[in-house]
Amino acid sequence: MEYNRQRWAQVRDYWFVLITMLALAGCATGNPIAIAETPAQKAYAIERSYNIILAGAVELAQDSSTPASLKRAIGRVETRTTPLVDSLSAAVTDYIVARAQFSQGMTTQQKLDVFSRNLENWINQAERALTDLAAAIDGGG
Amino acid sequence: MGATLVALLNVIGSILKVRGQDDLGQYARLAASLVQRGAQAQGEFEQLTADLQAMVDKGEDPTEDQVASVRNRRKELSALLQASVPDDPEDDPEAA
Repeated sequence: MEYNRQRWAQVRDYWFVLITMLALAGCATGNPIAIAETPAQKAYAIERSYNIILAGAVELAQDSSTPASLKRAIGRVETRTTPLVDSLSAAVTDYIVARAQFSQGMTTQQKLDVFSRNLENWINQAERALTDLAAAIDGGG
Repeated sequence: MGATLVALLNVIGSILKVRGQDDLGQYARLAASLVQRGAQAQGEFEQLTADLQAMVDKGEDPTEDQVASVRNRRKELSALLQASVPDDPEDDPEAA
């Protein structure tokens, strides 16, 4: 009896993962991050992509049919990923300001390179945050 | 196709609820909401791709205002999400 219950729970979970994968496959068309050419464009693409996924997470969290455990798992991941994307946002603003100063001769190429490297570092971390949040919505937590 | 799948999943969810298998019905309704959200997100990603392509074609970077607008939206969404997450594990029969 217990074996049957566990087996049925497994079948149910596999079915749910299959449906979820079908649902999320719709998001896979087009890759805005891949077409971005400059670090600032890439950062902007990541931030807006993150917002789209975060909006999906909000809808799931507000949906009464979503299990409380999944809501909590998404909430936990979000408290870790959003601060990373916020740091990316700060880095891109610093870079935009530094680049404007450089074009006006108010800063050096060396200083601009520092902001550029900092931005690249946060881009890498934010890309991972994006993947982590998407995985949490997919039920991985 | 997406709308048909959403309708079908909602019907399955309702049938399972009527038959006293609401735990399964809950998964069907959740899947329906994910399919619906997937279709909406696809449209948003297409819009973002078009915006980025225009930016790349013009050789422009985002402005500080654009970056600030995205940041503010994220703050709103983050607050909404955290407000919607149940914080009492005893409310969750699956975790018990």
